[in-house]
Amino acid sequence: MSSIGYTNDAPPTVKTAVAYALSALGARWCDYAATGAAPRFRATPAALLEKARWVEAFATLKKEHGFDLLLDHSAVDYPDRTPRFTVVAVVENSTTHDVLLLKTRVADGEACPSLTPLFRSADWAERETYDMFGIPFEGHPELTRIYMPQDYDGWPLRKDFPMEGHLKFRD
Amino acid sequence: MVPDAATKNDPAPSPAPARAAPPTVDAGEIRLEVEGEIGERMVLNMGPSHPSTHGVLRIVLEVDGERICKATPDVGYLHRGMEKIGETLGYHRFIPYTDRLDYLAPLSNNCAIALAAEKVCGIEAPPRANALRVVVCELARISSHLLGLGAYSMDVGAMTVFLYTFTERETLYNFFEFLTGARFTTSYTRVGGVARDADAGWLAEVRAFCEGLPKKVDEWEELLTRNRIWMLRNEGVGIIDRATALSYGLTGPCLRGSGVGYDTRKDHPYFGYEQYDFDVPVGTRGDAYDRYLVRLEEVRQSARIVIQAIDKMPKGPILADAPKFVLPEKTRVLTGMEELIHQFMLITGEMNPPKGEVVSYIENPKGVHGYYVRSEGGAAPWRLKMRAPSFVNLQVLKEILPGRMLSDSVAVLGSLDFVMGECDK
Repeated sequence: MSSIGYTNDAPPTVKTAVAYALSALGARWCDYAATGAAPRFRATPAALLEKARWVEAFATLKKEHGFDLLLDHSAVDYPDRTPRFTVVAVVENSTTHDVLLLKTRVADGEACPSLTPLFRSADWAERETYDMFGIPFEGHPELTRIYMPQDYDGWPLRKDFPMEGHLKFRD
Repeated sequence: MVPDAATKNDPAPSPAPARAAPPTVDAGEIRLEVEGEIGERMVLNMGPSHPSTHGVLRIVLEVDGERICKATPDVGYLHRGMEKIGETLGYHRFIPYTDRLDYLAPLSNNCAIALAAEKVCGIEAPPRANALRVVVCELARISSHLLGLGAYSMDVGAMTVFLYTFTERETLYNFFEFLTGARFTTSYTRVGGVARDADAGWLAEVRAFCEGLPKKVDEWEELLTRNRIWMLRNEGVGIIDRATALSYGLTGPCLRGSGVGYDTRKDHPYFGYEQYDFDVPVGTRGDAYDRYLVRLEEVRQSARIVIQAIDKMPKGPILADAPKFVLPEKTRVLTGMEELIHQFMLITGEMNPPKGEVVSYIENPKGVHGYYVRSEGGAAPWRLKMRAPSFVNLQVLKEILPGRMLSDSVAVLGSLDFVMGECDK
């Protein structure tokens, strides 16, 4: 299971209004104390959200708390866990420079709600995640592979993707 | 009888073909629906081997005469699976690969992965290593902006500037070669510090170069900034307003050109950037001309930072004292048995950083570059997600190219200043 602890209390670096808004959406905050790392090296506040609240959380953060810059958006694969994937996104308030790391969990074959209506940068980011992990994004305008060829077989960044061997390419 | 003969020779008018669905044009893997009649709009493949795309960017342009109606960037021709390589090799062995990301500023990429790995391991580089990183990062920024400016102006038709900027880049590459042993693939940083110390002579030479640089920038500016042709080609071209820039996640000079003073060096200081005095230039209109001005000013500010960093250069070690994560000094590896074993163990995977997640970004010449690292212990990250600024910045092409003339696309591409090695990972 997860190597990170989760608590209901937001880290002190998160502004009260943001912490309250996210906690109201059912966010659970990451607690790295048990991992043994000093807090200054794990400075980004991170929260785990329910998949159903994923878009709502970003909409609240963007519209009410000024988190207008989606810096990064990707996924992590845990083949032994259910649900298998963790979708992560880093969002920043371009005025106050608060950074948040938000996560949600998605099962294999299950779709994750798309952030494209909120951030246009989510377009290619989600295409990349789809291309590399095979996570479909619900509501994405054009979900096609971005790096690999369209008829490529397999999801390269999944942990069970072979690192060696031969692939038969099309003619 | 003449009219009769004429009508006889004319072929009978064929009935107009019934058109149910709009015809599609097959442009490789991207299928475009062409509105209206084929022939009015043409599909034009720009790249992947077009000189102004600087690498292997392909843009599928739908043009109506000279006017662009739709632009679809197609990336991935240089995809090497960098993230997968990083997740397999581990922190130490991934550093040389970062040279091949933004290959116009390899020193900056080296610093980004070193910083991320240090945060994962929970160590800090000593002050001298951090000051040296600041020097090389800013030199890399100058070098990258000089190439960006030279190539940009050459694409738009001003050949001379390219020759001037490349003369200075040659000096910079000589500096890199002296410090790191390589001109291009520098691999200069290590987890916990840097590979080689800089001697006083090198620092003095770099300082002298940076003192003379603003005057040279002024000279290039005389060639371009008030040049009528340059202004006509760039003013009002590729306008990205503030909200669009933020929504597309632009960073670096592209975001600052649109009037957002966002700079990781100021807003989330790393490597001790808070000790140095420098300005963050911002544009007002967000057009190609503003992005050009922002880059030019950044060259001057970078020279300022290098001079301050060299003047304040602390003395001391260049590697952190954390033998569980930091490689031993190379000369001792080559002469001592213990150090050799130690290096061997770290490289082959005897390393156990704490678990957890790290978000670590630095300000690269192209924008915010850095990593989301998920550590599950072990010498290799469980997940190494790289934020490639060129990849994010290129998305905006589909927004700003439509409606412009075909020749403007060259100016827009030059002003975005991307590099495909990083975009395609």
